[in-house]
Amino acid sequence: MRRCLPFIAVLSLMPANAAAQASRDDGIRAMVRGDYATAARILNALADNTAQPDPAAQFLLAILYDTGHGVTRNPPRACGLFLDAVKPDNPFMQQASQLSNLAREQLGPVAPQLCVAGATWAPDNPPVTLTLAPNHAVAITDTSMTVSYQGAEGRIGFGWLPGTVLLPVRHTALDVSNPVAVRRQFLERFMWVPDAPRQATAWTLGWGLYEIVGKEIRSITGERSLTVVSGSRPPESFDLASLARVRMTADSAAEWVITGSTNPRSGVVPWKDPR
Amino acid sequence: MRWPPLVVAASVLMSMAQAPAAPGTADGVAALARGDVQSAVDILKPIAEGLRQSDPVAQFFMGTLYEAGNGVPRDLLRACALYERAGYGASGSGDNPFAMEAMALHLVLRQSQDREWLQDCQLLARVGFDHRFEPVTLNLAPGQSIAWELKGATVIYQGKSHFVELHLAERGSVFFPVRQTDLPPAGQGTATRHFNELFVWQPDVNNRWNLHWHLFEVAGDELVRIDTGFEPVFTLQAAEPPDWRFFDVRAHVEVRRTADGAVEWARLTGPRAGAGIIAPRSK
Repeated sequence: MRRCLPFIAVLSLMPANAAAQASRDDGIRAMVRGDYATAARILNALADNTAQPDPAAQFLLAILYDTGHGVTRNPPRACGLFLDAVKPDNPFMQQASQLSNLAREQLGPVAPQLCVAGATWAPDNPPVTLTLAPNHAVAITDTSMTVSYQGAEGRIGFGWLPGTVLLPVRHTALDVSNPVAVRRQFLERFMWVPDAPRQATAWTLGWGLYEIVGKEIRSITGERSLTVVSGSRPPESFDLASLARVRMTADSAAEWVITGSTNPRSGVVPWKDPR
Repeated sequence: MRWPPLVVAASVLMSMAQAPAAPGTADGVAALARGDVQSAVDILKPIAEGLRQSDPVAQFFMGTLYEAGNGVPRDLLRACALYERAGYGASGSGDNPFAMEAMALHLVLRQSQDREWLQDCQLLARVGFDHRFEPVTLNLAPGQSIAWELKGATVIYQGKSHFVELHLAERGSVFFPVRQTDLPPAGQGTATRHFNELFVWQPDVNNRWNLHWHLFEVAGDELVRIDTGFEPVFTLQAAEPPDWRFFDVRAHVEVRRTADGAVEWARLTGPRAGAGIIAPRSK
């Protein structure tokens, strides 16, 4: 029995290795033939393997995040992955180095904060499209909101600190009558921001409020720190509405309320006609 | 007995599936990912540099290898030309992630170079790497010479020089070495006439190579283009144009003295056979 043990150990290692090898090639094949979603899925598993991340997979995945193919475009994440891939044992090291320099340059002065090697990113939220009215919709990804309104388009982009966990966007429609009778469309974005890009110990809940008017996306207000919780991961569920929300006042206007944070406050959202 | 069409179709499909596929771009990238640079170059170089197809993935990776001198000699101009073709070449390549990264690297590369270098890069991207053009300086007379490049020629005369831009190279052009033809004086009142001939093979859609003849006279500081007709002087059905050492251009065209001492060009073969006098430049 004792003599069998090393042999079994070798056997159980071999298929795992072969599988890893095959799936990187599968990822490359998918990427070259233009099946970027499949490529991203395969490469993500290899790149995120915390025990033994595959730097070649990190490099290819970085290209997908950098250009927004098969995943939501995410320049900080791409930049961090390019940095991860600058390893002497990576055959793509030189390409990764070229592109990481470029990515940092494009991120500008905030690059040192946004572009971090070894960051742990949460899985992307799937893109969502909300229909607000006929001919009026908003497409939401982790890094952008795009409104289409009667053939015109408005867009804003977001760059997050590495490791930020984004919660699904909350949509609230309010049929106000003050100062005018109109249906107002609000989007709220909540995010848990870690105290460090890896091995986080505390998480700060941030909040941003946006209103969609025609093709415009108006940034109304926000709060960096609704609350702070400790832990290696953010809480699974949380009563967000108890900390910040948008609602109708007694006289039928739109108002935001921050109950969390060290500075509770509220304010009416003024109405401005679309430009 | 006749096979039903479906069976025939199925057997054709099966034989296609069984045929061993030539290594493609994905195999080259996979080789590179394993660290096997030599295999990667063997597979990717012909795909990236061939003009028959435009493959932004192969072009991107070969570009980075040339830029770093990894597996191939370092060559920034080739790197630039490959990024250019990947990023701006094929229609729809803007939708390819490697094409987008190639455009970004192209931008970085050109920032450190001047305008003339960028033009060389663009010319190389358009013409391709197999043009076989060899830059050469020809001495014509004391104080008179001409330097040929792919993009044009510089005439040097009595200490002064000027550049003439020429658009001789097109997509897929293959050149013979520039040929210097000096016609010595023929009697009273004539002088040596200096001609340069460029022979360019141009591929057409039917896999044929058309040989074009460009005749120039260098007179003083002037480079004069002689009109000999734009039609090809010869057409060849072949995968590759011939080696210049084994092809006798003089069987097809000539610039020569006539019996009375004038100079003429002549097409000796083909439907456009004919000749024309080249009058001396009056100074």
